[in-house]
Parts: sequence; structure tokens; C-alpha cells
Amino acid sequence: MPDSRVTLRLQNVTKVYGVGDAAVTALDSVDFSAQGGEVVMIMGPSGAGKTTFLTIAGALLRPTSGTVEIAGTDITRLQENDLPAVRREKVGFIFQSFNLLESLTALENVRLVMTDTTTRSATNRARELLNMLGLSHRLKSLPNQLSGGEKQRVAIARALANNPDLILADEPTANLDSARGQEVMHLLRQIALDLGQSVVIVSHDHRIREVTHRVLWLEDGRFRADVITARDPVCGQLVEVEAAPTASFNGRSYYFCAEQCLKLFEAGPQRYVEANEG
Amino acid sequence: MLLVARKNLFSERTRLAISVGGIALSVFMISLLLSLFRGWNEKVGGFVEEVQADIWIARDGTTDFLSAASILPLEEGSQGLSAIDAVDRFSPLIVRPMSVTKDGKKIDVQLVGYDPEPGIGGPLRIEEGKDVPGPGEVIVDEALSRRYGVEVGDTISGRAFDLKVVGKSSGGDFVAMQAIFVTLDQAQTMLQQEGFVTFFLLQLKDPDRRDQVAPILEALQPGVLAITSDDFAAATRERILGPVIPILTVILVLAFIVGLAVSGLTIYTATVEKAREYGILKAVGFTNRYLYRVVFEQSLVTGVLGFLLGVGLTLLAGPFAQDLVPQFVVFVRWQDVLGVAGVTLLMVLLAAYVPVRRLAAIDPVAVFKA
Repeated sequence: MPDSRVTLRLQNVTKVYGVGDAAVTALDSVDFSAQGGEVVMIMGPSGAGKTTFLTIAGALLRPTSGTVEIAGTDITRLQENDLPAVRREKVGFIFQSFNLLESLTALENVRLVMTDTTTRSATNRARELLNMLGLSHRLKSLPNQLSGGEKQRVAIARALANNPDLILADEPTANLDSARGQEVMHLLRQIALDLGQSVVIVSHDHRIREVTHRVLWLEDGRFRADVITARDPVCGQLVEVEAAPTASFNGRSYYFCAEQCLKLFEAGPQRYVEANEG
Repeated sequence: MLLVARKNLFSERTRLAISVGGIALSVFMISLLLSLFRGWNEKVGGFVEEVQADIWIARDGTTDFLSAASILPLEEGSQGLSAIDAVDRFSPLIVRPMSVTKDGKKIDVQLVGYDPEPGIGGPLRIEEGKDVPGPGEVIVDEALSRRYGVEVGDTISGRAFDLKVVGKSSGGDFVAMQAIFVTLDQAQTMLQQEGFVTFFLLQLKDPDRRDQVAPILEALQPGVLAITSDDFAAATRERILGPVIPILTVILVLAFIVGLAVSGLTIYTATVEKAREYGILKAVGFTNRYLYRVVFEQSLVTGVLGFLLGVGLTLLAGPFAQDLVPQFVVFVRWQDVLGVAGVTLLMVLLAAYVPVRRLAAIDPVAVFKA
């Protein structure tokens, strides 16, 4: 279960891109906190501000206003030169496209980011992490020799390398098949529980909801608590009922992420209904 | 060396080879041209420098040793110099560029007629045969021997005189032509200039006072030039090599630009191709300074490899080229090698400058895009 430590806190955070008539508010007075051992999932339509949220939470982008604390450090008060150290020591990043360095082996990708630069201890820790993630046989493999699931596990090991307080994951299952996606998510949950780290995931993948402690809906730059969601029977994406195209079949309503899914459904509803019921 | 720098560099072998090759070519061209210049410099001025004379006396207006049109009266000059207390010994010397033939083949030489008694201005080092030529005899420089196959015992002809080769010496190679040594009397006879010489070579009682004595000699005898050996050697070099220097400089600059362009382009493209990875490194907490170091280290290692290859090629190709083309006199000095190392360092630093500026502009947020 989550502990009482707050590893990430955003207070009244606003981010505006551009100025004047061209100004776009990506985040609008957002409040958020995550506790140690907690897995939080943030969902929302494209353009809702999810990536902006993640990059601000990861000390990669400064908010226009508001404060951001990572493990008790108010990063909005820090100089630009101080932020890389925060990212390296307090935050672990997991990306949609893995983002491993292609010329480095799995072991080297993990070892590289370690702040403890003693070669032997860094190598031992990297090896331990990869062993823990079931990659003991892949230590010397280059990224192009690994499967998608293996790459993501290496990326997770890299994110854990400096034992950060916070792990930020951007669509961690997007490039994985269903089984590998589930495997990665269970792994992240287990890490959060065992190591007491907060895991904040931004994703469209509704299948990973069940392994999270909380799911938040971000739309138009704000978290919305009153959102009723439903699963698109065609693509499986979670959609907001209020704004989604809808269709009825056998007296039941179905909601779609886009007109294209709606048309596919209308062309053969039986197929999708049976698939979902099955 | 940083892990990322090492891996990036050696994982792209073809790119590394092109980059190293470009720098090596540049270093090779620069060091070879420099060595060639040094070789010519050594040869052209070496004889004047090595002759055991403190001061050279010539007709005013004389510019250099090789094309001297100086004519001095022998008797009058000798008497005048004998009366100067600062002069310990002196010797007349006749120098004249001319053509000789061997077996009907024309050979350009620098005829040197010297007085064997004091011996100043004669062959610097005897390599074979007699030390001093007699009447109708000549000692030839070994470079002439190598180039034209003139051997001891052969006969060469010049100005209707036959001269028997009785020895070989070294130190009289002026690249474009070589010295042949005859007695002063022989030279006067051949050139039909009895009573006149080209130079007087002076040894002073106190050689350290040569700079003070030279202007005094000029004041005593208006219309003559008194110049120290070092200055005369420098003037000879300037006269012969001066016109070559601007051309050489242009070629050196071009060689530098070639190396800079090849290394700069390969390092730049490598950086651009890895831009996403540099973005990843930034995102996960590496500083700009770390990334700069990665690029500089790659550039530096490329430079070191290119430098070693280029200098190695110079050391290998220099003597080989000299064997093929005798005028290709290469003299590699460690000071020049150090200089080329400095130029290579400048090259790789400049080559890394633009990529480093690009690194600074990489936005780490971009790595969140799939």
C-alpha cells in the first residue's frame, strides 16, 4: 500500500505556451500529489496536457506559475543548471519508445546513468537490476537485439538505477503487445510496492487501469473528477461519455473515440459486442 | 574516455574511417609540405652555414650564394684584408652556376673554385676519394653522383675543359643543382677570370665580434658587402625559397581546410544522427557540459588517430618519394611534428564547435514524442 511520503506535489500549476492571441493554456491551475508506493495513472484525450504535466513533473519544463516539489525539493526555485541533477537523482523516466542508446549494451544503458560512478559498483548495481527484471541473459545485448518487452524492461532498470523517489512513465505499453504490456505494468506496480517509489503513468491504454491505485482524467489542462468514461468497443480506448460519438445496439449504448470507430462498429456491431463480451 | 563517446565513435566504423582518413590526409599533406620546405631550407642554406667562415665579402648588391654576380679583385682584396687586424685568416672563392656534360648529358652544377691551402669554402665532408682536387680534377657532391650517375674516375666536361672526378663529398646539394669543387686556379682558367673572385671568406680572431666587424669592413672598402655567414645563409634561403612560401602557405591552408571540412562534416552528421540520443541523455539528467565532452572526446580521438596515421604516412612516404624524385628532399623535424599536432588539435576543436552548439539547442522534451 502507498505510504505517507509525498514524492510529487504540484500546487496550482499553470503552463501557458505562447503569448497574446496565440497563447495556449496546457495546464490550468493543476493540483496533484503522489505518495510513495503509489501507482497513479493519468488519462485523457490527445492535447489534454498529459505530456506537459509529465515534463513539468519531471523537471524538464518550468511551469508558468505554481510550485512543483519532487521528494520535498521545490524545483521551481532551482536554477536551470540544478535541474539535471534533480532529474538524474530523484526521477526515473520510462518512455513510450524505450529511448535506449543504440550503441550501448543493456548493461551499459543502465550503468551509464548511475550517479555512483565507481565502475565496479555501478556495474554490479546495473547487473542486479537487470537480473531482477529477468534480463540476466541479455546483459551484453544491444537494443536492436532485444524484443520490445525486453527493451522496456531495460528502460525500467535504467529508471531505477539511482533509486529515484519518482518514476514517470509516458505510454509505457504503447509499443508492446497486450501480454508484454500487462507484464510491464505488473512489474511497475511491484516496484512501487516493494521499493516505495511513486509511479505516475500517462497512458491511453485502459487495460492497465486495473494495476493502478488511482486513475485521473486530464482534459483541457485540468483534472476532472466528474468524468464518466466508457470503453470504445472497436479500439478499446477509454473515452469520455459526454463528448464521444455514440451508437445503440440491442438496447445498449456504445461510445467511440472517433467517427472512424463508430463507422466500423455500425458496419458489423455483432462482431465487436461479442468480442467485448467474450 | 566517456563510455558514450567511445561507443558512438567505434560503433560507426565507416564514419570513423572517413573522419580519421580526412584528418590523416590533411596531416599528411601539411607535414609532408612542411618537411619538404625544411628539406629545401636545409639544403639551400646549409652549405653557407657550414662553411668555416665568420664573414663573407662580396660585391655590393650581391643577394645570395647561388646566383651571385659578385666580382672582386683578388690581389687588391687580399692586400686589404691582410691589413685588417681583426681578420685571422681569409680565402678567396669563385662560385658560378654553369652546365657540364657527362657522356653528352647536360648537368646543371654550381662550380666552386677554392684555395686548397686555407681550405675554406671547399667540400664540407669527403665521402669517397681524394680530399683535395688537383689541376684538371674535380670533387662532386654525392647527390649529383646519385642523380646523374657520376662516379669517381669518370670525366665531366665544362667550358671546353675535361675534369676527372677524383672524389665525392656531401653538404653541397642545393636541390636544383649540386656543387662541384675545383681549385681556385682551375676555376679562374675555366671561367677566364684570372685576377677576380666571387667572394672572400673571412675567419676572425674573435668570431663573436662578427656583427661588429662586418659594418667596419664595409666602411673601410666602399662598394663591398660584408655579411655574416648566418645572415648570408638566411639571405640565400630567402632568395631561393621566398617566392615558394606564399604558394606553400596557400596549399597548407587548403590542406587544413580539407581536414577541417571532412572531420567537421563527419562529426556534425554523427551528432545530428544521434540528436535524439543526446536528447535522451539530457532528459535523464545529463548536463550540457557532459554532452559537449562527449562530442569533444570523439573529435579529439579522431584527431589523434588521424594525426598518428598522417605523420606515420609522412615518415614512410618521405624517403620513398625522395628515392623516386631526388629533388623531393624531406626533413622531418620534431618541432614541426609538434606544430602539426597543434594544428590537428585546432582542427578537431573547430570541427566540434558547430556540433556542440547544436547540442545546446536540443530540447529534451522532444524525446517524449514517439
